[in-house]
Amino acid sequence: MIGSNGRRRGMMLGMACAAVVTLGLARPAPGGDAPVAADSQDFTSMSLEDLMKVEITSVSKQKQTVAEAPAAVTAITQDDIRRSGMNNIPELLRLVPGLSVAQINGSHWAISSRGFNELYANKLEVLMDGRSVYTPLFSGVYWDTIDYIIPDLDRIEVIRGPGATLWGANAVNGVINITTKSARDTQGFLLSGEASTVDYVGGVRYGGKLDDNTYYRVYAKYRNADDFDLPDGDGHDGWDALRGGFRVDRYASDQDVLTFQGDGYSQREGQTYNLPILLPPFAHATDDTSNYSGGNVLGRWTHTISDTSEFSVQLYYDRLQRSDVQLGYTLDTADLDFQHRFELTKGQEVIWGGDLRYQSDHIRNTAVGTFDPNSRESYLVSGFVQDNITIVPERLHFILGTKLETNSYSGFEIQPSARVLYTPNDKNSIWGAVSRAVRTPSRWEEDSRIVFGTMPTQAGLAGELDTVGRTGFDSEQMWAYEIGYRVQASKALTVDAAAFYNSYDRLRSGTVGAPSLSVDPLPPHLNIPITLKNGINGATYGFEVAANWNVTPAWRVSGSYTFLMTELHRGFGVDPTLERVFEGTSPRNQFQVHTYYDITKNFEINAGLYYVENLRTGDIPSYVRIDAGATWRPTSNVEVTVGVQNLLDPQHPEFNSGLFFNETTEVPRVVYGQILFKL
Amino acid sequence: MMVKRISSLILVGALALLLPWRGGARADGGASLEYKLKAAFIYNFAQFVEWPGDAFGGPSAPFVIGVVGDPSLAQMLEQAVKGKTAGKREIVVKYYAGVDAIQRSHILFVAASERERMGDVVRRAFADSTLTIGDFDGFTAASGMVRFITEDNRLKFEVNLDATNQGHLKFSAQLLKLARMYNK
Repeated sequence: MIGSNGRRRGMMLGMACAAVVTLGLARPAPGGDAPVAADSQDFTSMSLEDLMKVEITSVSKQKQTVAEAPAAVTAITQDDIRRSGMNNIPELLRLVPGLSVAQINGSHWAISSRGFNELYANKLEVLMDGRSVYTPLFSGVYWDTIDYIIPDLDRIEVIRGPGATLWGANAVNGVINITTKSARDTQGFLLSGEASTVDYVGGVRYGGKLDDNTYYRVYAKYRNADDFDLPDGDGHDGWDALRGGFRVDRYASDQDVLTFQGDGYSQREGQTYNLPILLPPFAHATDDTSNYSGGNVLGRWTHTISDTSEFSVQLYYDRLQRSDVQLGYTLDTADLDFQHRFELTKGQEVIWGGDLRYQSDHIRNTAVGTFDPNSRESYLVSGFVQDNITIVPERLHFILGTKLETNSYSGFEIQPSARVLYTPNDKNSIWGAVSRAVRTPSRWEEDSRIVFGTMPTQAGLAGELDTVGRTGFDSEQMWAYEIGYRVQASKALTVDAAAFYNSYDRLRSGTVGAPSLSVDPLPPHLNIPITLKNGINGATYGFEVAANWNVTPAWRVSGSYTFLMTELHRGFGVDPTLERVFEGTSPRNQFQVHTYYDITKNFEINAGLYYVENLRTGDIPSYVRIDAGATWRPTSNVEVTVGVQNLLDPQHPEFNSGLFFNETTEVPRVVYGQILFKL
Repeated sequence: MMVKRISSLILVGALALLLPWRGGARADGGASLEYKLKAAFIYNFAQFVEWPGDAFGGPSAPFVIGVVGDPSLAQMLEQAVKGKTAGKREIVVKYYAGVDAIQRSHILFVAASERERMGDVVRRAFADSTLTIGDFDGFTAASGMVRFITEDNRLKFEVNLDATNQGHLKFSAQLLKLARMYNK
């Protein structure tokens, strides 16, 4: 209850709650709709109706109700998760407006917010229970390694737009915060299983108590997924993954919550790489089976000083190992995070904190990629402060803040943000924001030489294009201008809209250099360097509208529409490849509609329709995806679901930017059955 | 590089100075708000639920609110109902360390720590016409009568009407209108 996941969760929740609050699910009470103050008043003199309007997040969070929703926030709750029928985290992100989620092959996804989608989309920060899973090698997320016992997920909260003032560099276009339930909320046995036309998934969790105030859970999960198909023939992208972990939550006192958790995974992934070679046909399809593993431990202490003051300290260690034909990569991360929230004056709530991160990597060079140095240590030191100023209580708020950080790659960065929220009444709110965010350089952009492709040249020799990183590579930067509007149109209907204009500068580009003759490796060939620079600028703009309609108590309909334009411009002498690719990797139009219907208490039918417009990059046609499922609970501890995904379509491709070697396969129709057993 | 390193060190130093900092005096914890709310809900239940006549020892017998397993809530309830009445009866709050220590109560709050003993709690509650209240998952499924649930950061409650009927308790329509019904 009390920020048990620290600042990040706190802020997310605050913002998300705010959305809910603004949308006003509270019942109208006699004597007006004014929100109920939760000071040290005598609650026993209040009616139940009024009591049911009092917010009970920790007080510091409670202060950031409506006031702190000046951002485009979407929360996927456990109910949404369960009803989606989706069995892994990257797929669940399809539910979020403004995100583009494309499956490249069985174990790889391209996921981004508000544009610039790619296998390792680099402008999206992703946190799992307060731990960053954004890796600095190519700047991106290894989505194949992000998994959990799905019913033990608490929620997935997504901010579209910059979150850098609080979350730091790389939270440029969005922040995804995945949180698991507390150990206290996951007591007892849970067995879950899925069998489908493409995979088998089994999970087991047990939660118990160590003493009156200390709860724990342990879990294990296994996934075995088949190969997807190519347009003509079989792919080689089946994979299996075993993971396990624990979480302990100790409610040491009314003021103190201690959390200790950890996870580990080991997986084997099939993947076909179209590796460049110096002989015709200049690409060789190599089937590879790679072993990836990793693990983490995290400890967090949250202390409530008073009704208006709370701090948390969090420390984690994370290790990941990925070895395949492209590269071998080992990364160790240690991170210490502190945050404190307090009331500076009546009407001013301040959050400040700092973060220290140490990372150390080791890279095994291969024929397609070399890093110099092949081991590197890096530091990130940051501090932030944000002040939420109440101008008119419950009506007008300003939120000013900035993050300052220094890192081993780009040095000092400043990421300020100014937000305003106006709530003329409990049914409507309008917000606006101006923020700056940066995406710091990756290891690739500073230290690497990677084969981009090979081809015949006029001289009769083979040519090899290499991307070449350089130390002077600078951070990509963005100024974002956002506005949003939320309305509770009626008791049953809520609408949430946001529009943005993001102006980018110093985006990654390549500049083709002079060819030179090389005999390493043989045969002799022309080596053409593409030096990575910051030669592209441009803008994205668009809007997202989401609505939720509780038609009857048993029937809910929700939907969203997303529009996005990307317009990039390259500087003089800059190679056009990246400009063209990124103008076409995110769909311009997307919409989705969901219906959730409880036919009886024990039987429900859920369905969703997704439309994703074509992508110019990779010539990906537009597609309509329909998912439908039926869930039956014969007793209170058994749940059986059968369903289908991609009802309309035997298979379709979703993404191919041409920038990676991984072969793309097609997303199949899936028929599945799931069973969940709780004890 | 050197400059970066030095600025990092300065920031580390600054943070190190700040870290041991502690806030001011301890006041109410954030959890206390939730306790206060729960106490107020329980007080409201005492007003809007009707107990059978034989639930009281006599016309001047007090109205007993028992709490098992959660001393903080008992303390909060004691403060909240001081000098207040249910009907014309004085309200008394009693704290029981465990299920075995429970005495006859009109309302009994059962903490999650007693989850394993729900069978005993329910049996006694039905016989004594005790309104049982809990806040853990599965409380109503285990024939507890009223379960607090948190939704959208607000406290709500779920009622198991089968259980309240077995305890011969009558919920007012006003109360039921606000409740979530539990169904097996």
